[in-house]
Amino acid sequence: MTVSATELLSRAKRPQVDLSRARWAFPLGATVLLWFVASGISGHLSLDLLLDNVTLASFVGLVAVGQMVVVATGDGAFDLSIPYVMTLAAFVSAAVCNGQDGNLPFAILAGLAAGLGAGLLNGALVTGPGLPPIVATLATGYIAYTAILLMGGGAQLAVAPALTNFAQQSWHGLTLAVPAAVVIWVLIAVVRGETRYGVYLHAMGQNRTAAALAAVPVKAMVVSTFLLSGLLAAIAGVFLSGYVGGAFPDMADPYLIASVAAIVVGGTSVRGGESAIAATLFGATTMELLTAVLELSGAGAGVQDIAEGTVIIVVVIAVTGRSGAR
Amino acid sequence: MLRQGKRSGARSSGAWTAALLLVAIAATTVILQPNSASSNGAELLLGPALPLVFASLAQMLIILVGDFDLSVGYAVGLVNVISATLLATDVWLGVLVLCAMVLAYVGMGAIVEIFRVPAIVVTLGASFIWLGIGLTVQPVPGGTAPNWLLQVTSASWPVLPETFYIVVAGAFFSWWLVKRWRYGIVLRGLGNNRSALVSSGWSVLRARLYAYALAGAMVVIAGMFTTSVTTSADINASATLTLTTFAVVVIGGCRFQGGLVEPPGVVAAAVAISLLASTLTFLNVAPAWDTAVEGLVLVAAVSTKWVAEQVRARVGSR
Amino acid sequence: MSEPSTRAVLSMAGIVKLYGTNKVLSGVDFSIVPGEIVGLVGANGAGKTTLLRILSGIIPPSGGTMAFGTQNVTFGAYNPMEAWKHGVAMVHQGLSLCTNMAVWENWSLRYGRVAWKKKRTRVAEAEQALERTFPASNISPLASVAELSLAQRQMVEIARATSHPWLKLLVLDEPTSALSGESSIKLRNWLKQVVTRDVSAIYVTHKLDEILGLADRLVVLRNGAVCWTGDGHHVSRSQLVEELGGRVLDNPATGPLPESQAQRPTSPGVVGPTSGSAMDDKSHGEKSVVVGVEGLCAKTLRDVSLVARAGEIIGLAGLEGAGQRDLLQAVLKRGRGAARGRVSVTGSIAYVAGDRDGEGTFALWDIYRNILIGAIRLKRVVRASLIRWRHVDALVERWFAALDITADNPKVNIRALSGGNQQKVLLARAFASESRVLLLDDPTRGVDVGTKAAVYAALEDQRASGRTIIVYSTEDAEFHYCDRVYVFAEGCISGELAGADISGSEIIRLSYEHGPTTAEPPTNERPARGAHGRTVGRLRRISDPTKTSPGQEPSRRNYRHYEPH
Repeated sequence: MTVSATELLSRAKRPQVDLSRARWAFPLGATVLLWFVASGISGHLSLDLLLDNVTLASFVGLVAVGQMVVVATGDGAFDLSIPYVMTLAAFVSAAVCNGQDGNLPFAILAGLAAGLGAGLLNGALVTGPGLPPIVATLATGYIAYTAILLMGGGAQLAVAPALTNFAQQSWHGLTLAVPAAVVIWVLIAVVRGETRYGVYLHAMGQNRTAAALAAVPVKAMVVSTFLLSGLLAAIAGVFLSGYVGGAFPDMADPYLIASVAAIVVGGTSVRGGESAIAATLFGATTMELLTAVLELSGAGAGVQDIAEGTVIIVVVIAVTGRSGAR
Repeated sequence: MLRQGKRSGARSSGAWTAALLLVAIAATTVILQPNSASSNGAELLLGPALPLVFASLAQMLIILVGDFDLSVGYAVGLVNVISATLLATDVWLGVLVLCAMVLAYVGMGAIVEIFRVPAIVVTLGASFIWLGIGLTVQPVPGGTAPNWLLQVTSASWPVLPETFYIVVAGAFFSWWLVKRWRYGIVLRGLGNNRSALVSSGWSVLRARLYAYALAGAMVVIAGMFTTSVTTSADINASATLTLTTFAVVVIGGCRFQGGLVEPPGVVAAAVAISLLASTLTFLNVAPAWDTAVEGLVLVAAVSTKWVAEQVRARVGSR
Repeated sequence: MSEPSTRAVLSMAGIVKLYGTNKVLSGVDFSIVPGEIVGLVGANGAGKTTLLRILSGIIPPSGGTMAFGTQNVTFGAYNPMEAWKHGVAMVHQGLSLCTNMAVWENWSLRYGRVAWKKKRTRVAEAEQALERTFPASNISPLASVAELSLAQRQMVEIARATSHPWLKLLVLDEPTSALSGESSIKLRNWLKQVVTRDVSAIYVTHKLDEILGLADRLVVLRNGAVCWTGDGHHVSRSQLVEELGGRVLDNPATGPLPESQAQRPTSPGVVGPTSGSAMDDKSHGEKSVVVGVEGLCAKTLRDVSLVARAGEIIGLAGLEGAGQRDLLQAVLKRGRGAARGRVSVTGSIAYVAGDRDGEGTFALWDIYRNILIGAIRLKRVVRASLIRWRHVDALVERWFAALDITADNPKVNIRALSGGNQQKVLLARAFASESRVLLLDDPTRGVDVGTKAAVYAALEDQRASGRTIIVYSTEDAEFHYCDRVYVFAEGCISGELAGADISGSEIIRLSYEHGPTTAEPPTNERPARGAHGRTVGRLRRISDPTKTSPGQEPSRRNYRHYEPH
């Protein structure tokens, strides 16, 4: 070799993400484009419109990142318990608070603990009896739902006023949920890109056998991803309950589909082995703005759903085609 | 007992679990509601089971070839909507649209096979589309069920209620599809050993399309029964159906990989879960608890199977 | 044969197969007439697997012609289905049965495209096929495949191949590797009968005793060409072994060693640390033992013992499937899961997988990350949980250069590299881990000569820095860089060679040695008829590790690509 490796290395940029191309470009572009379209329909360029949707998207983004980490482990891993865990965490913290502000910190911790507990159950069911993740998380979801009902979940629970205040403070539609979420995302981005954990995660998703041979602790990793997903779902759930001013049983229903949609539109393969946080987040904003555009153009809820579904299918065909059939 | 018919051919322990469960729940139902042992009572109880039975069979067929169907709930709901609207006003157009539904399922299968896209995502997107179409056609619950459809589940047949015969027919037909039909072997092969299929000269694409087409047909049947039973169109009534079908196929003894399904088990589990829901309603338990109880049964069934496997492995090694 | 004989069922002429510059087959002529059993033998790397794959339509040759009778084959249109239409039934290594079905249903699946028959007919068909190939084997056609043992499944697969409606040529690739002696005798008896009906058979095996006395004609492949062919009934075993491992071109100093010159008794058996030290230089005895294996029984291994010391390269030789890979796996797992015996390893272990695509490379990653994952456990690479990229850069640079990896830069996706370079990356991963022990599974398989040299040089460097290296290789002639070589045969160590004794011919000779267990494992497939005519699953006894339990995945070798790219 005439050129030394050092020179070659310095020539090639060290990637911060697993892929050399910026995955987030497409969904970001789509978001901006849709914002323009929405503004065009409503007649004026409105920052509020964008930021409103960004707020909604930030909740989706939180759980979507958790789902992304689970999906990245490959082998058909999905977390179907996310909406139930979100609701459970909301209920737990609301129940502990009992409508007062006093116990709020403890209540929040209790909610997070519920999320971690669900994640642990998921991990145990998958690594122990070897249940397929879909079945395991489904079962956990049902158990969480039972717990919700036991906590008087037939009706709505009130949350602490302080939480509501915190969550509903907004600046032009941008609530505090967003910066809080941004902090979490940055943390996860660091973990996934700069730590041993991230390397192990992406190795497992590509080839479990090779990863095991390369001394990756596969089972521990699987459990950890479910723990993380459960924790993020809990955070999102507690925050959401503050934002909407209450905890009620159906509150998180759309979030399962939304989390998968965000990942797909963000261009991440659902086969595992890769993850792209910024892309997933922009995937979430894209979907939210798509909904906004459709609403503004007077399309009924039905048309919105059709559009979302079509987008998911088209994007996933395009993405899978690009990375090639495996 | 008359239920023997459903169990014909069921050899695996999974199907037996489902059958036992069914017997247990049926017995409980009869004890709590002595009326249910009558013809009318059974009819009322079994009626709501029909949509779940056929939706679960649809899911089972998709699982047979190694995929998952996240859209079955809204697909059934869409068929329900069409049955209660188009079918009542313009029969032939309605029939055409229902055929299109089956073709749409074939389309999903084609996308999965040709583009090698995971079925989970395709069916997820499709579920949105079904929901959207259903909401567009019928934004609020309403519609009218065609009379002939209503007759189907309220007719009076000799000895046992008609719904019973339908359930048994469904079980028998699906069992025949999987275990006796000549092409059923190919479908099972696809779920188990794709390369064996290819090296024997079978077309994998065709096999997958057949499976999806059959599932689509089951979905149409399930949707029409939904209309027949609920007598109205409401896309959201079937929203939770998807997850329930997963629970049913697991309890019924199917595996998610390896092409191992138990049609009679699935039918038995579906009837069992339905009866359970009815019993809970009778006991004045809030409908929300249905989901919770389903979950408990799912967990119990899965745990039982796992324990049984562990025991078998230990015994086998002695 | 210069022209296809019209009498021949199959004739291949001048078959050449190139993978890049690697000539795997260099002009093979092969033909077979009706009613003939041809035994095809060859040591590792001789090319028999490639030849079979060309014959059965899985890969095309780079040159040469093939004809079935008078019908020439157009290789562009030739594939396994075409082969089947010509009457070729091939039983691969690697099972193509569906486990979720009954035995008879697998018949339906295989032959359903030809003609649909009712269950009763198929069941009878299956029963007859099983009865004529393996009489009294008691496998019920109604049994579920999932409940059959590995040996039973193999029997089912062979029997199924014989039901080919217009069977002309049966190709059996190592058919008895999973069978007991009793069953393989049955198979051979059946073969002798069936060929009287103008069916021919190609029988590929390592078990020389089987093929002598069975084959009408023997064909010996070596280095991609037919080096000997003759009457199978009138050749001695030792002559055959000599033909298999004669003079090797790149090491002219070696040749077939007369028995008397062998420095150690060639009796098959266990080589333990004590007998090993008698062979070694005195200096070796002072180096510490890093890997110690005693009396190991796991998977195909039977009572294996060996040692590896610090600063040593130990070679594992012998025919494929003789247990070398199982030994590497056992060492990697430090003896966990073994039925009997002890494995002790001092220090960390790095493993270089043999199946690059399936167990080695991470296909979405570039070279950089494929190396990174090896180094990620080093203390200096990860500080305060964060990766210190400077150190990774340094490591990647170092190994990129040391192994002379040919690529534009380390950020190129690994799949874009040639097979040899991919192998180098996997090596770099292992080296970068700075582990005490390195286990390598056939690292030079399917790579070019230049890469091989680089690999050997790198291993010698690693040895110099005190690492312990255990290498399994199928390149019989290339163990010269090893300090000691253990030769495996049928799950046991048939011999240990050191220093000047290491030669390709000696290795080949020892590869064909009988293990001490020529006595067949009793009742490897003892099915009993259950109440419904199904075979009841065998009970697996822990004390006998050679049996497999019904639920266990058949531990066949990977049917791997030979090609370097």
